[in-house]
Amino acid sequence: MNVRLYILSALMCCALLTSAVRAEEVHSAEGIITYREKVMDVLKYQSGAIGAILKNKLPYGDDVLVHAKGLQATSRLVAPSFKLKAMKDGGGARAEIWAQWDEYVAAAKVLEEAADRLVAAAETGDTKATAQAMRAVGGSCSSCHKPFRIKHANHRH
Amino acid sequence: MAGGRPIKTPFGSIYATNITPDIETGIGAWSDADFVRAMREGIAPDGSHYYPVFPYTAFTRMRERDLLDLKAYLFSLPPIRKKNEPNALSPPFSWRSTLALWKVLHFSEGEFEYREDRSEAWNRGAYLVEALAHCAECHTPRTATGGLLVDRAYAGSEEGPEGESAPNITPDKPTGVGAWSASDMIWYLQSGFEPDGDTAQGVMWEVIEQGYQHLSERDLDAIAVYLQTLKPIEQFVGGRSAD
Ligand code: HEC
Ligand code: HEC
Repeated sequence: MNVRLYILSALMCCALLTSAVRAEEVHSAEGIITYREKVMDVLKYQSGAIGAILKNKLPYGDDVLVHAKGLQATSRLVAPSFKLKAMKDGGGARAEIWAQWDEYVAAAKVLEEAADRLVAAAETGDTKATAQAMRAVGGSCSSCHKPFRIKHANHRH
Repeated sequence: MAGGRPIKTPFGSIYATNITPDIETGIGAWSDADFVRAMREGIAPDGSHYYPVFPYTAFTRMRERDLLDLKAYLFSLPPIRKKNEPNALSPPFSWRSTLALWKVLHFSEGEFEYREDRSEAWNRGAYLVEALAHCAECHTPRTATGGLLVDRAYAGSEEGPEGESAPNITPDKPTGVGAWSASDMIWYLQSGFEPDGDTAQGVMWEVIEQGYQHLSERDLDAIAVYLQTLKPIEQFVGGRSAD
């Protein structure tokens, strides 16, 4: 390899490296955390809406199906929205998410499957079966939160 | 059921005891009378006193028939041989004999009394909450010696089991659950979903999953009815939550 080619390729390597570092820097921890919290908040609102209809026995069965489908779609974002590791002081995420990534993905999968069963139950219009399926969804949220989320008192109601 | 799970209290760890019907290491040799005495009075067959984390302060309100049904259920489980762990408590709480004193201070023995001036649902709820579901064991603050602060019942505890704080569940609007309807409470105990759609966490989720979730809607409704008649107490519990 002649010297000029060597220097050129070394420079190109450097350029590639810095651009890779730049690409990382573009994602602020704050932005990553805000997004995934919004994903969780969407799940919360869908669950809150479904719960409000079911527990008050409101005659809005068709609406339950709409919210169930929304929850089902959002459940698919639970693993991807945590792919980038980011944490902050007083935040809600535990480091175990990334240390035990496979288990985290498996916990998200449990929600995905519970959401599929919720949609199937809501499609039949059977409110009892829908309520039962929604309770299983609640179990899948709590089972993931237990090892992976820190819930702060200001999240209480 | 075979015990060995440490229960963290502000005074040190206590290991849950083996309550499987194993003759040597469990409760297999207990008579009906032994069982009722342990549950009601907190006294083991050998005469020693139980620590109050064994929630006999709540079980004392259970009717004898229900206690014997519970014993029959426990005796139907497979016996497991497992020696109880020695308890790791700091003095003076490590001295079992101080428990006799503790009981005089904090423990009122006696079966649940039906109140004629209240509805059937209220009485059922009172029995479930006070005697069976022992909500107070976590949600009522304790004195320095570990007794329940009865006049602040259900107002929340910064130092609940496992070091988690348990919120105020009296009907106080700003700091308790006064804004929750009966159906909010029933759905929460069935699914873990709070009114806004967030979820129950930590030991509360455990007791929902392993217990309350399996109660009938009638029983859960009774619990909600009873809780709504508690004295509202203003107290914000802002301590550490489950993590
Ligand atoms: C696979 C794991 C997992 C599942 C399943 C899951 N969550 Fe979460 N959730 C988390 C983690 C981790 C956090 C903490 C995120 C953070 O603060 O950075 C969180 C936080 C939240 C928050 C607080 C968000 C905020 O604004 O701070 C809510 C609300 C929430 N989840 C609701 C739900 C609901 C409702 C479900 C079920 C329908 C659910 N979650 C299912 C992992 C999960
Ligand atoms: C083993 C301890 C324990 C027992 C027993 C227990 N709780 Fe809880 N409870 C907690 C903890 C800890 C929390 C906080 C959970 C969280 O942060 O999500 C809680 C939360 C709650 C909440 C939510 C309050 C809020 O403001 O968000 C309600 C309502 C509640 N409990 C009612 C009950 C009732 C009713 C019983 C009895 C039938 C009961 N609890 C028994 C520990 C307990």
